[in-house]
Amino acid sequence: MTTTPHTHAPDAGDVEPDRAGEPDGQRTVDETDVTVMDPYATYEGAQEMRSRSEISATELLRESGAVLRLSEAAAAELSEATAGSEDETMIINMGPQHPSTHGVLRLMLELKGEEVLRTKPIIGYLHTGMEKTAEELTYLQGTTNTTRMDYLSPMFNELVFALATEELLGVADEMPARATWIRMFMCELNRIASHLLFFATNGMDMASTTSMIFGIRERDALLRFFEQVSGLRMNHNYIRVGGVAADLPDGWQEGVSAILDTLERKLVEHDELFSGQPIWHGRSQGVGIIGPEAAVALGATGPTLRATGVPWDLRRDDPYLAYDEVDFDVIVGTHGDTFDRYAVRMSEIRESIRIARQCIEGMPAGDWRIQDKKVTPPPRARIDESMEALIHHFKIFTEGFRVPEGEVYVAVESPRGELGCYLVSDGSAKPYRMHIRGPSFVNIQTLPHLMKGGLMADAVAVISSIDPVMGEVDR
Amino acid sequence: MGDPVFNGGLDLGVLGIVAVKALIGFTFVMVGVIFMIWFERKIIADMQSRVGPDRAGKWGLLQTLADGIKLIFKEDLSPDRSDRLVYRLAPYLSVAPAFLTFTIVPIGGVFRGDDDGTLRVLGNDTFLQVADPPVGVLFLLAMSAVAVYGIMLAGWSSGSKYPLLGSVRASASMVSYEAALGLSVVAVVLLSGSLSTHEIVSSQAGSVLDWNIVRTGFVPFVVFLIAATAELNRPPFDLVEAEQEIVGGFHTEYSSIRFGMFFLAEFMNTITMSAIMVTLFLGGPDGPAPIGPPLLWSFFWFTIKLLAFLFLFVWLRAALPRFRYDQLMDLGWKQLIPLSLGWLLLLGAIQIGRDEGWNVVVVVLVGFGIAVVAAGGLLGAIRVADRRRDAFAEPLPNESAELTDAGVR
Amino acid sequence: MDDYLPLVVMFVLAVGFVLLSIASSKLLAPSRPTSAKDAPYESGIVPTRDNPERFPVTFYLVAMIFIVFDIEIIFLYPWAVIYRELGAFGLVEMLVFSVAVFVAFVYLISNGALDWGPLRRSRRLDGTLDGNRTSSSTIRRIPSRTQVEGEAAPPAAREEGASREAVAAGAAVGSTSEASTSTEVPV
Repeated sequence: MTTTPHTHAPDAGDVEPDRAGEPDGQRTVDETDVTVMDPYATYEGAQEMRSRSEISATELLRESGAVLRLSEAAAAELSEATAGSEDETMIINMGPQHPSTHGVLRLMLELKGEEVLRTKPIIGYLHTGMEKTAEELTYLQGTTNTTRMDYLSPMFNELVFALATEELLGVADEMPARATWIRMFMCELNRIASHLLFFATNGMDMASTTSMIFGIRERDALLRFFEQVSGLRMNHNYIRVGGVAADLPDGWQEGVSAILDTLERKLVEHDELFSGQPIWHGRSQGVGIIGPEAAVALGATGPTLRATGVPWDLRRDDPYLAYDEVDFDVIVGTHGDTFDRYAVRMSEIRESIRIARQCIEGMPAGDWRIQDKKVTPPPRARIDESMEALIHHFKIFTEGFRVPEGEVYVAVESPRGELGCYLVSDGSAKPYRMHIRGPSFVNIQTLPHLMKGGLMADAVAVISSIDPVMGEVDR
Repeated sequence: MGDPVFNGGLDLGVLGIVAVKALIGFTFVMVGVIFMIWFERKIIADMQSRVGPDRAGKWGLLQTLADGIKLIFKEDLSPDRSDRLVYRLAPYLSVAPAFLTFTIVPIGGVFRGDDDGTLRVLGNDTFLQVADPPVGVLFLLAMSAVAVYGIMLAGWSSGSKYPLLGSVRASASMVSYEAALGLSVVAVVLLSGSLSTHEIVSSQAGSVLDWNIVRTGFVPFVVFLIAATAELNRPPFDLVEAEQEIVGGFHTEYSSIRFGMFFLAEFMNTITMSAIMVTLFLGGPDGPAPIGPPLLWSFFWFTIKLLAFLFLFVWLRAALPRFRYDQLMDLGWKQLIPLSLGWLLLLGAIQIGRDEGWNVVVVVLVGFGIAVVAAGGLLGAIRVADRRRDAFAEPLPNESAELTDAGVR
Repeated sequence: MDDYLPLVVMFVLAVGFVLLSIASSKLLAPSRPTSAKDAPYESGIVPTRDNPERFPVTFYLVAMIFIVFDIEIIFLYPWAVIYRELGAFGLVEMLVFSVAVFVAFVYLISNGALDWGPLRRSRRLDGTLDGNRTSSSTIRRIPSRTQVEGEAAPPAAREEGASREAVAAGAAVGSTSEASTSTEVPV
């Protein structure tokens, strides 16, 4: 097989390639061209990184970690400083089939030896069309769909969709307190589970295999609890429009308390064994630094943003559910490096434990979903007695319920940052349009900035430190 | 000097002994590897609350064998941009030194009292080691240098980028640690007065206090242990493979039994290096023999010491994350090499001082003074280098206001 | 030279073993190459560029410096074997030799020949790289409710939220003049 260099890659002047991820008009033409040449071509068109001579100055700057958009002239002036000889550099693909790219993230790196000069994330390898699928599913089925986006924090995806739908329905005020607290409680547990998996993968990417096993082991206790509650370990479809799918099982307080107590003890151990050792420090401190202005300008969110020192947490700054009724600290870092992102997440686990404990104590009694026959199915017992209840039940699960016309944007603080759901209804039982603002997607934008000047090994640590979930990026 | 089996010239009996010894050595290493891989997987599994291999054979003991056989039945691929000849040669270059290094390790023999570790077989005196070349430890260094070629050429000839990165890492890092390795061995040679491994073991006969680990003052041992770990590409120094970063490095493109050969060589080297450490620093097969024939005890002690090192390597792998490339090189060049060089000269001075009747305290004080001056020079040099690098360095995110405004950052 | 005979025997055994394994694999294993299988690995992407012809010079520098050290080590070995016969003279000789090599070594280090770290100052700045920095000392805590209810201090988050918009707006036109450059966020 011959793999000729793509000399006829689209000219930089022809089209101004937009942010990674957005398809380009130029692409189709190019793709067919290559396919003829090489049946195994994996060319991705304008998303790919090209050699310095082929690209515009703005693109060069962006790939080298520039934060702001500039005019081509201003960029050309600046990029002269960064333009260098390409003699000793190579462009290497990291991902999609790479052990440390968290699924199918693909990065093209320009390396000089081991030093990363330019980075370009290429996405789309896990595209599932979930946003489009949502238009074909009723609002009741919607959470089944969204829960699969960020598969590490499914509760949040369900929550944000449910909140958005309830906002459109205008039933948000009717929500029983218990439902709200159960949602908050489950989300915090889910945040712990997600951060534990971050701990696992972050350790793994620095080749600390034991931390991976330990992180997953600790997380598994929580997944077992989720299974008790919702019947599933992942993709629960537990938080639904109008409340939650079921009440918490008997004896849940003791079960969760035991898990949280163990976890708290283990966290101290992990801090000593993994993050307390010099090699870990050397690998993560001072690696992948981003300042607060750059983080804000790039739209970074969640722990990635908070690690730079910006105290932006929707739970505090735009309280939803009952977060204004519980005490917790927003954790912010100092230097904005990989170590800070790690530390912020680890401390957030402790804060989530705090919130979960307050939920155990303060869980109000009452109903766990709205008793509105238009939105939620009637209780099981009533179906046997009432013909009407049966009809309602049947209609809700076949046709769904109609949602008044309108549009709404609701955001929650997922483990990765601001997870937003923009929902447009045309009055039918299915959304006219759903758009998800995935925190992983915006955080990936910071990668060129974080990786610039680091080594190949830093690149791996940096990817795991922003903890992207590709299911959410590609949707 | 040398194995007494050759004192009476070569005859069929001698050749027979040589062949049998080589076969025993070969089998020891092969069985050792099979056991070692199983041992490593089981221990790590235990440390990570897992079960580990338990399907093939009792307690999964035959797992390695099963894996090896599986590899033989796998399709052997070579990438189309590879340099065929070198690509095929590389596994040989990896495996052969691994086998050869083990030949100089005395795996048994009584070294206490009048015994000098010889054993009488078929009317010939012989040592319980496959070979005892007079250049002993130099042979060790030579072989570990050849092993670098195996890894380097494997990566280079694959014609693919990740293996290339691995091979470049290998050529730089393994070479660096070889210097530290060589320097720490000189301390052993200094005290034993010989390059032959048999002589080195003989010179350590006696109590634990006579072992080189004590006599050389621990520092060369520690340096050797670290350098050996790096030389073996064992975690936390396994940058040459680093599956999280460069996806296996030099062996990314290898498949089938060729891939297996690299793994075989790696584990063989682990065993061999552990055995070498036992030989150089822990008195080889030396140890007390309370009851029964001392010869059997010598095998027992050798195996116990070997296992201790193997366990240590496994433990390191379970506990530590990996170094980054620059940290690895800094540790090797800026700490281990100066340290082992200084320690060696101090040891030499103390030894000579003892012969010449100098005051030991004075010698140590003078040595300490020189060490302080040298360390000062080294630290100064490192600082100068840092400052120079800073001149070329890119600005920090918050450092340069005008650049921030302009958008570079 | 007889002492090397066992090495030859072992070498033959080792090479024979590898040959046998590879040959048996050749006989037993299937061979169905396709162009996809034979393509070099690059994370599932067909490489469009060749490997670089040249590699940054630092890697070769290491090899050259190593030779200097290897020679030093080789000189040390004979001395270590017979140092007793040479006595104080040998020691002084060795010291002088080592000093010469060490001075060269210090020169190399000060020249940056043994530096690989990325050219980024941030690694050493403002206590980023600090062994005493733990996951609890590097973070600050901002209570969720004191600010919302207390109103004693102006909520930092609101300010930050405002500047967030400002930076976003500034970013669009290529200027951060409005953006706060202070990294200190009032607690």
